[in-house]
Amino acid sequence: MQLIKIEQLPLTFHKATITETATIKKAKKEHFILIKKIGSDKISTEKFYKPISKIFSFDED
Amino acid sequence: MKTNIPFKLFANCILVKGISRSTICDLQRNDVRVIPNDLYDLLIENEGKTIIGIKELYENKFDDIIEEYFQFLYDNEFIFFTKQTTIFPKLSMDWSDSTIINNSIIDIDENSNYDIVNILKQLNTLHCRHLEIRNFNNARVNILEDILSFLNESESTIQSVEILLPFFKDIEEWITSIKDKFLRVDFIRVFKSPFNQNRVPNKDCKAHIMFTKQNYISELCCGKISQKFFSANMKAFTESMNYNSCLNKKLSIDKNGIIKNCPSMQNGYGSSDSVRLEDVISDSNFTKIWNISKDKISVCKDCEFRHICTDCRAYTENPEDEFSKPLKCGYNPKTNEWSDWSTNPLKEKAISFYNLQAVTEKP
Ligand code: SF4
Repeated sequence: MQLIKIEQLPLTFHKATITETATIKKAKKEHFILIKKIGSDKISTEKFYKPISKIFSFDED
Repeated sequence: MKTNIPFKLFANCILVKGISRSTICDLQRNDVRVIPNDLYDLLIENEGKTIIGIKELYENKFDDIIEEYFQFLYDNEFIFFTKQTTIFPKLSMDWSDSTIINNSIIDIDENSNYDIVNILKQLNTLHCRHLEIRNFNNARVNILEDILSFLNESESTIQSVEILLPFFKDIEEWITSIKDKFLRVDFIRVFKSPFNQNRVPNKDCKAHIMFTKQNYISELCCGKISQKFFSANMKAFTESMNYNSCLNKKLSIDKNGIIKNCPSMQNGYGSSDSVRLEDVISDSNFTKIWNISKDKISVCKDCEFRHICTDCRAYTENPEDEFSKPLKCGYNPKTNEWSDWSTNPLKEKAISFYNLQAVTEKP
């Protein structure tokens, strides 16, 4: 296995961990957000795999 | 966690990189997580290696972060550990569907007088499977019942029907009267209701029924982009990678009986009373929009949600650019913030171009 030098790390990873450890670590936890898990109260129908149109949203009031 | 055994992402967990962050989409569980781009790169470059090995690659300087990343992936069942990494191939990202048209929107309002049964017969020959009927202004229950009866009697290819209609006095009795008779009805959405209510399907009623106080005056209300409309499943995701996630294999009839890709679009292809749907589908102008995938659309191509987001080509930020971002999206993939699209001064010109002022007014 070839060892990748620090300089060869993906830039964002390098920057994130070297220079901004504290803030990135905090943001990182918040980043793992659950965006979507369809439950029975969501907009999608049981039969079709996507919304046919995008008019009705239940809890927009 | 087995840190000395190579890891693999489950094949149904797909990574999507955005300009500022990425997502992992679990297409089997309809589960989407936002992750840092660092983790995206780490996974793309190191899949099939052991965690111990990856830590060593980074000279053990980031062990705590790498540990945290992989613990998150393991806890949420995005990865597994195996020595036989080659026997787990990637899933194909191709999309195919045997229908000529797979979904259709038919709009009606109090003035609509075109021949809907004629359209339904033609949709049958195109193998259409899913239909949404949107009834604006006053409820026209006779027409809705005629449509549903025809589908029953003709043993139509249409498997599911969604109905959007305004509230009226005897709507509860009406729903009770149709729910057992027309089993294709999958979803009934009632607007301008005095109350908000969500009735999930149960043993007495297989249709999902929702009531909202909101009023939807016309097709101008369509095209909203929100997380509520995201779909993270295999079919929707792969369709989005290859085709337009809203308009592919869609054919619609607007409230005046004009054939369109979607009722909100400016372009019409003639009256459904005089032009055959089959002829419209063989017109390349009608089908070319099916190929505008999210990867070709400005801003969306940098968005981490691009393959779970249903597009909109009817209302775009720049009406002259067919690859422009959906107008009704308030998400900024650079800042990862959602804002109210309707109050964005940069969108004012497009809002007045489409005459959307009425639907953007706040009550
Ligand atoms: S930027 Fe594009 S892909 Fe992202 S949420 Fe908005 S419309 Fe969807």
